[in-house]
Amino acid sequence: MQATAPEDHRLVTLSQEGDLAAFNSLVDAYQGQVYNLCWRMLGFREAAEDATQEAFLAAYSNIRRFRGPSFRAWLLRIAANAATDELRRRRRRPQVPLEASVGGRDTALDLPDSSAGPEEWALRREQGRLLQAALLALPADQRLAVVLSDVQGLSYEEVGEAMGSSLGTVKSRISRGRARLRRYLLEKGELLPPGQRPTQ
Amino acid sequence: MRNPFRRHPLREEDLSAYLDGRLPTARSARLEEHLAACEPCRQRLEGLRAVVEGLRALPSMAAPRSFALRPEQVTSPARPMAWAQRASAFGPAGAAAAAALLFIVLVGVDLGTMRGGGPEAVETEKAGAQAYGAEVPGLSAAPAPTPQERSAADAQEEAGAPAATAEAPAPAEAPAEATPPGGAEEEGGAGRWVLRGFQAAAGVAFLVAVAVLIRQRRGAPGSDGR
Repeated sequence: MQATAPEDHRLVTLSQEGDLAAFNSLVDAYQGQVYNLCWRMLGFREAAEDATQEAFLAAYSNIRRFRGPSFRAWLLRIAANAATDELRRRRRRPQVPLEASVGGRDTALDLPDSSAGPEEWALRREQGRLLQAALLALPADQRLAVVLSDVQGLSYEEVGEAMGSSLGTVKSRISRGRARLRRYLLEKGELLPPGQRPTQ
Repeated sequence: MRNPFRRHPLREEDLSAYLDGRLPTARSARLEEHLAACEPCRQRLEGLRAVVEGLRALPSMAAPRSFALRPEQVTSPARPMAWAQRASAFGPAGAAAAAALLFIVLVGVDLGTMRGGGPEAVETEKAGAQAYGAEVPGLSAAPAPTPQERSAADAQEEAGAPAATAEAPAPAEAPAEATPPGGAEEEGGAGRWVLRGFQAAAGVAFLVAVAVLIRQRRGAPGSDGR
């Protein structure tokens, strides 16, 4: 498992002593990952922003309880909980249907990628839209496992720590999530290029 | 016709773990052997690979704004409370409750002792045994004999007295047994005094805690809690 980096360790120690500037350095370092996780879990920007802010507030007030080994996994666990809470809250009083926003104006998939030509960018955008819709169709536990593993690039051990689950549960959730995504894309996935098109 | 389960002996979970390089070597070799001969499983594996590659290629989104915390948003991080702090956090109400609980437990123990096995109970049962012992010779529920009783019975047995005599002792022996001169009665008495002492202390603690609580409540509206 990836342990907390020495610089992070120093910042965590300072934060535990109440140094808000040190904690904000950690916020700067990890806000992209936390926001990405929340966005992939929730599907649109406003909800992801709320969950991200809640996650950092919760992380700061609980920083003294952090015992290691991985600050990233600990933080992502808090973010996952914040995203799950936000999901529940929004389901109780829906304002914007989660699925309806996929591919809409507030999705980050609209961000231009300067390294790709217009055709490739359009293709990637369509793939991304489809994959995000497929992710949102997964049960929340499988979605979280797949996002942490395949989007965030965490190891099985880190996913286990972030989800508070055993290695066996992590493997099973990732596997079932990927299998569902494959079936979803088989039904809708004509847009994937031939090399990446899932087949039965 | 071949059994399809024999043709695909590996689970979907194995394919997923294989993609991540997390399948044990022996199983991995078995899977590769199977894949070489099984087109549907190869296609499933390729489908999963496409999913994983697609997910890894999803664009990473820049945070739309800074999530740095402002001082007015936060309070100082919560310090895990030490035992003493936790105990004092309950305040006088907790102390009163603890003292009341202790008092009740001690009274309960005292009553239980009186009813179930204290010196008084022994005396009562022995009186019962005197009254009914001749009619109910076994009286198996009687308490275990004291050392004095045992030695008296042994002495009678050694002297050749019949067992029935021991079960129904002569009335003349009973008063001596009912008020044994040994230390057991004195120890029981001392224990009872200690118990009463604890009861009194718990009662006083309860009253003091309640008094402090009442004073605090009266003072609360005028103070700002500091």
